[in-house]
Amino acid sequence: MAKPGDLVEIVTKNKKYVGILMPKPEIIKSNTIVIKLDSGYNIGIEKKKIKKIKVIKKAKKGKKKNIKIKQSKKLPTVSILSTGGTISSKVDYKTGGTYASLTAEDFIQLEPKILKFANIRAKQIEQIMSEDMTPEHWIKIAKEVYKELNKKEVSGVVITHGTDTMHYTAAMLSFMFPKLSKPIVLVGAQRSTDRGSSDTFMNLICSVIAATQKIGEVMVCMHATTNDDFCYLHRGTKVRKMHTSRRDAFRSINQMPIAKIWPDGRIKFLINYKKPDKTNELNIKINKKVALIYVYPGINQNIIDYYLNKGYKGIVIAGTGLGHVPTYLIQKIKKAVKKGVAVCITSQCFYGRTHSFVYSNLRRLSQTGAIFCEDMLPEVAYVKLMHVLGKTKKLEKIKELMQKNIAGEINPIISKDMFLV
Amino acid sequence: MDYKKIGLKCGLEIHQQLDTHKLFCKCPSVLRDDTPHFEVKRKLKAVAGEMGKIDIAAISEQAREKIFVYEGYNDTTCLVELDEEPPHKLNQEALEIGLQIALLLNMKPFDEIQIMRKTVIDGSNTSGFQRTALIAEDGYIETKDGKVRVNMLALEEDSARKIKEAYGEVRFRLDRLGIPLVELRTEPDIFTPEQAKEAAEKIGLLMRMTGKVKRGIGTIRQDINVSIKGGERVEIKGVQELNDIPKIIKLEIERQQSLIEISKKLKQRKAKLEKKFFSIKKILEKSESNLVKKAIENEEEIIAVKLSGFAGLLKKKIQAERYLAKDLVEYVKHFTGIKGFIHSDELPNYGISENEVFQIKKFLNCKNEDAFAFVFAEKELAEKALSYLIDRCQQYVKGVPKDVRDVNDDCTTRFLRPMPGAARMYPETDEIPVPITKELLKKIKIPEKPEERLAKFKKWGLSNDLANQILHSQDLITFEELVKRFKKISPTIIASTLLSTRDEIRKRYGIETSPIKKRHFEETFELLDKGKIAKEAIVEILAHLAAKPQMTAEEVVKKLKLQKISIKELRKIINKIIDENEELAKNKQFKVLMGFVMRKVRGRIDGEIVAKELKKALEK
Repeated sequence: MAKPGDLVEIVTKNKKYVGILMPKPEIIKSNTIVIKLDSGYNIGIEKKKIKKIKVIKKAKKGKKKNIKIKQSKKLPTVSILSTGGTISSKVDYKTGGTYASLTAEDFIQLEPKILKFANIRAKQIEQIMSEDMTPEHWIKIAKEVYKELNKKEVSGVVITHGTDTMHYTAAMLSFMFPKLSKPIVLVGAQRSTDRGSSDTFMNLICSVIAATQKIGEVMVCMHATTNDDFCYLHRGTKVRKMHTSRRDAFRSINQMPIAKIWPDGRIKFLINYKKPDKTNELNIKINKKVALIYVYPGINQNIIDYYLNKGYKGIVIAGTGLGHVPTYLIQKIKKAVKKGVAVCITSQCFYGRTHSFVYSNLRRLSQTGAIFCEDMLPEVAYVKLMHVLGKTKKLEKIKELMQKNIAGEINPIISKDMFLV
Repeated sequence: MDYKKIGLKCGLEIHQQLDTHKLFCKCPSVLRDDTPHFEVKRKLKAVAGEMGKIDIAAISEQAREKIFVYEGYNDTTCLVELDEEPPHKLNQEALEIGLQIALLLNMKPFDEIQIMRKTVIDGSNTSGFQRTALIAEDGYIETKDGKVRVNMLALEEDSARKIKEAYGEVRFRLDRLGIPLVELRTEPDIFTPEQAKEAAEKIGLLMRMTGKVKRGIGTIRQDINVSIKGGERVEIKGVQELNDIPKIIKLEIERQQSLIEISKKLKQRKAKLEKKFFSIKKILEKSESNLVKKAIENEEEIIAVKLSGFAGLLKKKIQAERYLAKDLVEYVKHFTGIKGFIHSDELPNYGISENEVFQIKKFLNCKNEDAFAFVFAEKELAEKALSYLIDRCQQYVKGVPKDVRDVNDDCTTRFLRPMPGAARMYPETDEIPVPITKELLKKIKIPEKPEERLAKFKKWGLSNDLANQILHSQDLITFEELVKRFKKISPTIIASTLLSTRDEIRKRYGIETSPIKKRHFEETFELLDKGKIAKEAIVEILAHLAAKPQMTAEEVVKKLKLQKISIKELRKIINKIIDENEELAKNKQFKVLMGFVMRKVRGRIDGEIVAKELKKALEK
């Protein structure tokens, strides 16, 4: 039987084709067989036309080149933990799409220039596209990062991550490490690594450079502009994916990026950042019974009941404008608070601060005991509430913690420049 | 030359732009010369293809780290061209035109096509690859010298337009990137230079039968593959002028024959090239040569290498006036950016003395048959350049190198890049396979072929000459539309108007005719069809429209008073003129009177009728 990768001869009524048998995407129903011709092109031949398939040469198993990595005593050491995503994607012949397949070692092969800035330790801890991440994964990643942080020789940790939910992970790690002696840098890619134009190469170099800095924060490192010139280093609690496909999709919201990093090693800090602590502290206790609700005109009020019935302990609302919800929802929120559920108000505008009393709707909402979350992003409030509920069940205490700046998630002073940066 | 004896084999690769929006987005396919609205800077990296190999051509590009600048327009280029958004679904119209062309070339479409990524990292594609899909195979065309098989037809996106290259920065414009192209390739069934031209002409004409291909400079590009016995297949890229094809092929034959001779000689001499590089700064320390002095002043190294067996060959002409050394310089420059090197065949020269040459030869242990070369540069770069130099020399020992070459203005060629391998293709994972169903094929209409159209035109009353002219003209489709629409107008008038009016306007009025669009012809013929103007007015109306294209034909007629007059009105005018010029009429001064009448009625009625009526009036 011919297997994908074999050189085969396919005989049809009119013609003989010679080529390498390609696997077909499983998710697409198909009545064709695809081969790669000598010219490099793939073509499909209708199955019912085929009379015979003969294997000319079985596929050779590709040998993996082992690379020797020289350790430099002069350079710091950076741990790269890979979790999957586009940054570690390759062509998948099973689905015709891209899949996560690169191991951490491959990153060095991918962009050898990172060795100019650091010795690389590498570990693959997960192989998952970021849309499939769950709070369980955050805990697992945090534990692995903690192990690396506690290694004396390691000066910082880079986490390669799918971009879709990278800002959730970044925010959660920000709360899980109340003390941090070294930088944690999350990095992803918007173009897969199998193409020459991939943003992986520059993002990876810049993230490694960031991981060698004396910073005690969790950050995201991605292209700053559509050019391949420099990256931004964003605060993990103030960053959001703002575009489906552009390289510079990640933007700091209500805050300037921490720094600009060039792939030649230059770094320019734009705001104050947290200096490293002496030790690392990990707190993975979270309560996963938290929901995030996006309100919209015509939203069904029973959505709140649904979560109450399911035993949820916290609800984050992405309200409209300053934090509004349709007036008919307010009584449901009141009911939730009465039951001891923490209801947190953020804005789906992302930019700007919520407000608890400029309009009557807000005042009534505020009177229910809902917690206004300043300028916190809805996603950040969502993970923060999980974290806070891991610490306390008392509404008063929850309110105090949600409105207190713990990991840079609240910016008390939003300046004019912090919009659409 | 006996082309059979030398074993000449040529194949063509033709790229033709289609006249639709872009292949993977909705941007219009327009090239622009106004100031671009923005620019973006990128880098590209060689990455492994589907089969895990990195393509040799890709590596060659990467040897030079470059910054690519892309210029774009906010209203005609989008995130897809910028590689910031995944490609949209394949342009269905382009696919259908591609299939039409395939059927015109007697080809067979595949059952299912897969869009591929062809690795290209010279910067001409923002993504680092060109999207391309093979859609049909196994066709042919007939030439006077026999059948030429057309073995493949692909639909692909055009690359970005190169605007400038300087200081390690290459500037491209995104307007061309993504324009649908049909790429087709013939088998090497072409055995003479003239046959190559004929085949290219034929294929071009067949593609135009769809009425959906772009016309004008740069919209069709021919690549020619040439090989001779003992030579190698060499691809010559970007031939624009069909008439140049025979000359280009003849010059390539000359080049390959020269290289075969050189290879024989090198083998006789047992040339053994080694990458052993030596500094000869000491030897040249006190040289009178300004080049050397300058290099020493700039603290550059002077690194030399022995070229075993090459004595006397570097100054040998291999193609017209081009020396072998020139080819070497271009090769080394391509990979390292180094401007040139000095070789022993041109020495003593540049102030380098015979004695110094002797010293270098001795130092490098050169025998009589050996040459040497040296470069001025910092050590690392110099050695890199010489390493590429030796690579190329080794290729010469083996024979004709497998090159992709670019055409110069004089039809000679220069090194462009090594021949790419099959490793440069892998599936475009952002697209799903496209089935070519029976239903789709049923929908495709095969356009009339050239010979069918010629027969039709002759039936319409066109002369042989006119029929051929209109067949090859860019107004072919407009012509057919106008004939269909204006049944009262003779097709000959329509054809000759389309073919010659522009020239006539330029000559007679000195007006630029490019503003004349299809609409202007349509409006003018509509007036003629309705009998509102005489055919004599056409040139004048169109000339006016060329100068004021925003006007309508009807407005021009009103303004210039070009409404057709009846014979009755003509007779009135003639009688009036005769009355006013009794003397002349009496003396039957026909010519003078004709002039007077024509001044009044030019363009408003057929001149022959005027003459006839005037004669009649004078005879009374």
